[in-house]
Amino acid sequence: MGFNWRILAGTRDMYLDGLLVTILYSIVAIIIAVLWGILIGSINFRRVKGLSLITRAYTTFFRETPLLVQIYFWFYGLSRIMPVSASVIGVMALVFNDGAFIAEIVRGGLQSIDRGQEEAAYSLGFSKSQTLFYFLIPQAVRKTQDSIMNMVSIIIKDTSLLMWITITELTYVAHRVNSKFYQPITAYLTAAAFYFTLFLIVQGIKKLMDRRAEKKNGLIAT
Amino acid sequence: MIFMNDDKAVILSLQHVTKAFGKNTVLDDMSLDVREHEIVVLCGPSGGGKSTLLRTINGLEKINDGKIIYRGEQVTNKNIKNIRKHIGIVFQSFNLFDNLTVRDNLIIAPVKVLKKSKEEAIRQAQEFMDTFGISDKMDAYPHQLSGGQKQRVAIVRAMMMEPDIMLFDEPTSALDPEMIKEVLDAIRRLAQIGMTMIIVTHEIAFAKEVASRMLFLESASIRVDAPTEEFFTGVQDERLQKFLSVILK
Ligand SMILES: Nc1ncnc2c1ncn2[C@@H]1O[C@H](COP(=O)(O)OP(=O)(O)OP(=O)(O)O)[C@@H](O)[C@H]1O
Ligand SMILES: [Mg+2]
Repeated sequence: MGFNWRILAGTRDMYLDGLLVTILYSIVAIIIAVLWGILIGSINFRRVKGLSLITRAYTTFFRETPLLVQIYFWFYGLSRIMPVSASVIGVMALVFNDGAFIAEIVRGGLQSIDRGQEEAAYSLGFSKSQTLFYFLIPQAVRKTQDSIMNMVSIIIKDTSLLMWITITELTYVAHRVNSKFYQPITAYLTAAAFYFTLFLIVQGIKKLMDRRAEKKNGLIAT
Repeated sequence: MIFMNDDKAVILSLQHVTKAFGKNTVLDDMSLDVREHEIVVLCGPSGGGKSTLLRTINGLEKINDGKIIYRGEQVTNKNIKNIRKHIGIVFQSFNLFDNLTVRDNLIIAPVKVLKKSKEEAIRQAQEFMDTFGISDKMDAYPHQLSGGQKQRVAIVRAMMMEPDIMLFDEPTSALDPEMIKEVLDAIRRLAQIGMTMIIVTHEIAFAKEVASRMLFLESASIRVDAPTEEFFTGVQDERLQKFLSVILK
């Protein structure tokens, strides 16, 4: 057995297509999940009457149940009620699950900001939502940017579960290559190498962001 | 110095204001009028309710009873956001916005709340910063400033709203001695232009110099309310004497 370079040469295009799909899903899911996480985290932080009860229940439920169960739930459940494509379901499942984790991170960040700045904002005539938007969220995001970037790595890995709803991302490609050639080491190690490369890229971006944050306002990301 | 003048318009009036945190009554049936150009200095022992008094005026704490009237209009939940635009407050701990440069700290409220043009706001900010001797700090972030510089920026930030009255809550007590003077000088300038102010401070020499009226707050009440001269020489109050003797030592 061992690693078979010949197979790799023949399946290169399949892998690159799979990688492209993985990257696309990752980018879309990351952007929406971060925005969603900020929104839900802010509502949880603010304790908006009634609404926070729902968003808190949502946050807990989606953090404490397996992602694959959630993916199947949306894929088989939701598609029965209305026609939605697998790709929409895929992104949605990732956003609801990983977004719940990001919401908790953001809420923690918001809580760690000294109340004084909030009061200063109110005393200048800013509303609660303006205060969140202009002062609290930017600081919370900067303070938690390391944790959020960890979630970015997790989202990239989570896209591999989308193979179970017929999305031909990287893991699905590896799966197909293996069933065709019976070369699991080559098939899966190749996929793993691609995932790891993506992780290294994320790490690079994280370093750049850290450096920028430090230069900008000396806030130490925790 | 501007002396108390009963003909001047009352800007702010507290009428029988009561504030309690749970069972702890912090302001007990407190009444106070502040007239235009008056400089009222509040002093008193820790826990006497000085900060709470300023915070209720600004709507940062809700009152349990009584009313606060700003230029003839009773302050309510509905109009507080609007009234706040006319009442500047400077906190002991500066509370600058950490994510913004000094320039943005100064212009964000005039631009977003008062809908001023950015150019106009920057010009105004520059002018204030020149007056307070920190015009070279416009591009700095708060963490790059000394305490005294931060507090002067905080004063300018409040002044940018063109307030009717300024509230100061121990503006110098978080500062090293060598920085206290620069902040007090900034407040002196405001006194010179006739700004109405309520100042909580332990800087008694400074209070003597700028105050038109002194209040002694103790255990939830205004125990003494007198023109500055009289406050230091003519008031027969055991607790006040004791407080002054401790603080002047
Ligand atoms: N948010 C709060 N919740 C509960 N109690 C509070 C709160 N803020 C203030 N208090 C209480 O109210 C009382 C008055 O506090 P306040 O801060 O107004 O006093 P102060 O005169 O400003 O004192 P200091 O000189 O120490 O600043 C204190 O007993 C304090 O413990
Ligand atoms: Mg106080």
